[in-house]
Amino acid sequence: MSEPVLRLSRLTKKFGTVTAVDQVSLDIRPGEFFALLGPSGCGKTTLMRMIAGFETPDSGVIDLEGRDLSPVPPHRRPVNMMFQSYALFPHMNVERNIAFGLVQEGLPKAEIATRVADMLDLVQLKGLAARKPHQLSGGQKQRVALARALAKRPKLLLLDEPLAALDRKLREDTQFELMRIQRELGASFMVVTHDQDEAMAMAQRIAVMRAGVIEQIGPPQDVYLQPANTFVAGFIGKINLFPAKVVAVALGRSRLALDAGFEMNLPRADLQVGSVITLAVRPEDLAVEASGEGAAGQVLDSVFLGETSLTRIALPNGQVVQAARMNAARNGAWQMKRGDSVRVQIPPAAARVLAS
Amino acid sequence: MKRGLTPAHVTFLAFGFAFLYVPIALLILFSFNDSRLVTVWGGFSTRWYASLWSNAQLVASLRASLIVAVTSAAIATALGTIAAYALARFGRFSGRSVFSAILYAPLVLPEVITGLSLLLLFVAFGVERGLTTVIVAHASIGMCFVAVVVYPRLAGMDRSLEEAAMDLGATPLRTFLSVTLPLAAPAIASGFLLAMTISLDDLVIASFTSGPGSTTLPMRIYSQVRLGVTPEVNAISTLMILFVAVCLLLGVLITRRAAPDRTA
Repeated sequence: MSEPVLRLSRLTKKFGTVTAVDQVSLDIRPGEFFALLGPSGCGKTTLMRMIAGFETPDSGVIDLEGRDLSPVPPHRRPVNMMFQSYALFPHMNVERNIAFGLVQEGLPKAEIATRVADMLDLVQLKGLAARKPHQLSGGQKQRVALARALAKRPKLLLLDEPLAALDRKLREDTQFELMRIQRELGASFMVVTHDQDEAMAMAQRIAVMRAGVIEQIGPPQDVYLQPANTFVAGFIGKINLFPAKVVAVALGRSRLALDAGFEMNLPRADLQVGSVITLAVRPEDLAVEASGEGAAGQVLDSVFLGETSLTRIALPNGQVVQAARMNAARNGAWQMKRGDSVRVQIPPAAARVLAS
Repeated sequence: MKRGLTPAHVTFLAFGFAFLYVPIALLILFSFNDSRLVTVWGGFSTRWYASLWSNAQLVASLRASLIVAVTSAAIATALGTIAAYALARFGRFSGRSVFSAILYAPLVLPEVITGLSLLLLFVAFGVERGLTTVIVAHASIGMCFVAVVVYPRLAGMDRSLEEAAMDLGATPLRTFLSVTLPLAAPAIASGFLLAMTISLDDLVIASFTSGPGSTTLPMRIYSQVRLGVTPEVNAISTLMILFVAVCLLLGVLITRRAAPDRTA
C-alpha cells in the first residue's frame, strides 16, 4: 500500500480542563474519501481545524506526505478546507472567490482564468461567474465553496459538515456529486459530519469519534456489521442490545442466558463461562415469528416507513426491541398490530458480541 | 397594544421636534435676513453669504477647521480601526478590559478635562501650540468614536471568512487588506465622517490646544458672538449645519448600502 497522505500521531488538544481531542492517531490514504463521524462536541471539528492550522495541538504530530505541519502557518499548508458556513467572500463575485487562492499563489492571469473556468465546469456553475454570493441559492453557494477550496488542487481537502446547510433532497444529490468530483480529481477528501447516513453513503472509511477519542476506524460495512462497542453500534444505525450471561462453553459453542428470558447458542468458544456480555442485533436481523422459540414479546406499535416497516416489541423483562422488515412485494404485508403476541429470536450469525 | 399615531403622539412628537429644531430653523432663516439687525426681519437676501468670503478672518478659520477636521479624522480612522481590530480579534489578551475602558473613557470624560490634560501634555513636552496640536487632540478624541463604530462590525463578522482567506494562502496582512478591510469599510467610512464632524463641532478642546494663527471656525464664531451676533455668523453656521448634515446622511447611506452584506 502507498504512503498515507496525512498521518496523525497521538494528536491531543485541551481547552482548559476539557480534552477536546485525546491521543488521536489515524492515516488518510491517497485518493481516499474519509469521514470523521461523531456527535456534536466530540472533537471532530477541532481535529479538522488542527489539520488546517487554526488550532495548535498541545501534543502529537500532523504529518503531511512526510512533512511535519506543526510549524507551518495555515496560509502555507497544502491542505484546503471547505467551511460549514461556506465563508464565501460577500464582496467578491463567484469568479473572484474561486480565483482568490490562485491569486495568492501569484499564478499568471491566463492560468488563473483557465483554472477558474475548469472549476466552474467541474461544479457545473458555468454562467454564474459574475454573481455575488448573496445572489446564489444554498446549493450554489456550496458548489462555489467547493470550487474555491479545490482550485488550488490540494492533496487533501477538508470538508466541515459540507451538507448540513442543504435540504434533504439536495443533500442526497450533493452526496453523489461530491463522490463524483472526488473520483475525478483523485484527491483525498476528509469529511467531518454528525450524520451517519452521510458518512456511510460517501466514505470509503469512517472514523467514529466520541469525547475526543476515536472508537473505531474502518469501511462502512465493517463499522456497521462489526461495531467495536455499544457506542459505535448505537451511533451507526439502530441496534438492539441484549445483556446475556455465558452459562456454558463446549464443542466450539457457547450457551447464553439472555436477560430477556430465553437461552440460545452462539457458535464461538472464546467466551468465559460466567461472564456477562452484550449481544448486539440490528433491527433487520431480528427474527419475529407468531410462534416458536425465543422470547415471548408483545407488539407495542408498528410503523410503516415506505421501504421498511419498524415494529417495537416489549419483552418479558421490560426491554423494548426494534424489528425491521423490508416491505418488498414478495414478502407480503407484515401484519403487526398493537397487542399481538410474538416470538423474538436472534439468528446466531447476526449477533455481535460487544464489550459494552 | 394599539399602534399608530394618536393625536397625543403627534403633539408630543411636534413638541419634541420643535424643541430640537426651531432654534436651528431660526438661525437658518435669519442667515437669509437682509437686515443688519439680527432679530429684525428685513427681507430675503443672500448677501451675508457673499460677504463671508470677504471676511478674511472667517475664511482663515474655516480653512483651519477643514484642515484639522480632515487630517485628524484620517489619523483617528487609522488608529481607531487598529484599536477596534485589536479588541475584536486578539481574544482575551491581558489588559483587554483595561484597554477597552481606556479607549472608551474619552467619550464620557468632560471635554474641559480632556482639553486641559492635553494642554498640560503639550506644555510639559514644550510643544508649540498651533494647528498640529489641535490635530493631535482631535485625532485622540476621534479615535475613540471610530473604534466604537468599527468594533461591532469587526466583532460581528464571520471569523471563518478570514480563516478561509488564510486557508487559501493569504498571509495575515493580505487577509486583513483583501477581506477584513473591505468588509469593515462601511463602518470605517462612517467612523471617518463621525470623527470629522466631531472635529468640526469642537470648541472646548480646540480652545485649549490651539495657538496663535490656528483659530478654528467654532472658536472664531464664539469670539465674534461675544461682540454681538452678526448675520454673517448665522450664514457660516448655516453652512456648517449643512456640511454636518451631509456627512451624517452619507454615513447613514453607507451603512444602509452595506446592510445586505451582513447576512452573507
